[in-house]
Amino acid sequence: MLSPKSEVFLNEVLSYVKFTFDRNDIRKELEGHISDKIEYYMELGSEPEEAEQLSVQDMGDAREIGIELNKQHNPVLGWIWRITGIIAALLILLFLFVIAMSMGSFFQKDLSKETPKADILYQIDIKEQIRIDDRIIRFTKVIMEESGELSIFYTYHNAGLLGGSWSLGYIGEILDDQGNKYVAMSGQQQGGIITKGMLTIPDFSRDADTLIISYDSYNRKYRIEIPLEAGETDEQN
Amino acid sequence: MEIDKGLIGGSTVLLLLSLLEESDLYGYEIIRRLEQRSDNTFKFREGTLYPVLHKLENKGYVKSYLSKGDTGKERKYYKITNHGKKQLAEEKEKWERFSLSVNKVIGGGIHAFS
Repeated sequence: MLSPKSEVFLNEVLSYVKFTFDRNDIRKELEGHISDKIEYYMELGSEPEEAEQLSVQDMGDAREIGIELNKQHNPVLGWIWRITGIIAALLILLFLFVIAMSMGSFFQKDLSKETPKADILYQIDIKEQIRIDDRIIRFTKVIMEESGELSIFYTYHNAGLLGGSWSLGYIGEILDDQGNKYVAMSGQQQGGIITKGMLTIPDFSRDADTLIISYDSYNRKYRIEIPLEAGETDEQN
Repeated sequence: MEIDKGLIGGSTVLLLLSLLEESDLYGYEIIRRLEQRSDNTFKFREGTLYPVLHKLENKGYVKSYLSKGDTGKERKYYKITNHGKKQLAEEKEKWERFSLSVNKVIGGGIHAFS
């Protein structure tokens, strides 16, 4: 929109500004000012060319303006500003990431509260404890949901002083009295000495009236039988 | 009377901050208001406004933001900060003390010679 006259002025001003990243913003700001002034003169009756010449003249000395602007757009400070900006942005991202992670584990901690009460068909509190070598596993609870999903809750810890950090991947085969074998999804939450765990079987047989957890590996064995409320459930349904 | 005024000078900070205390303005508006308020006493070298505005921003007295005003053109507006308001109060006080002193000297002279 502006003619070479304004361009010459702007280019001269900007030639003194060494921090090139700011040049574009400065140009836009000064350009805006000149074009406002041109409109002003034209409203007063000037021809476009005259209006522009007067407007540029009113701006003052390009060299003086450029030198003063350069003092305010110092390259060293400019770079420090840009770099601290980038670092700050990265730190914020990292912070958010850490927050998100801790939120995630916060939710996992309350494994037993994940199931809304309305969906629970029944819950059996159990006190079964078994020991394999130094590891003590306590089964605490079985929850049967309306959907047929069965969850087994347990905690475990190591009785020995060493090996506290070993995690437990496998606690045994999940069976029922009907001869079905189940593949369970597991979740765990490390909580200091005692670790909470949960096994979930998506579609547990409604006919079964006993849940069996059977472990037989490396010459170690245990078998737990937990009576379920299958009979009543069938009647209700 | 017309005083040629570069804005890179002492009292400019006071003038600009007091205008911005009333409302957010962009550069061209600031110049127009300064002219109107001073009954066209000052003939500004308008471009010299910008280094001062940028300096005020660097010092944290003002913050700039882009906005489309009534005209639809995007402008860079300046807004006074709390820090800037404090500075304005200080500058006003300084100015009053200064002009008082100048008047005393002048007034004193007049009295002395009258």
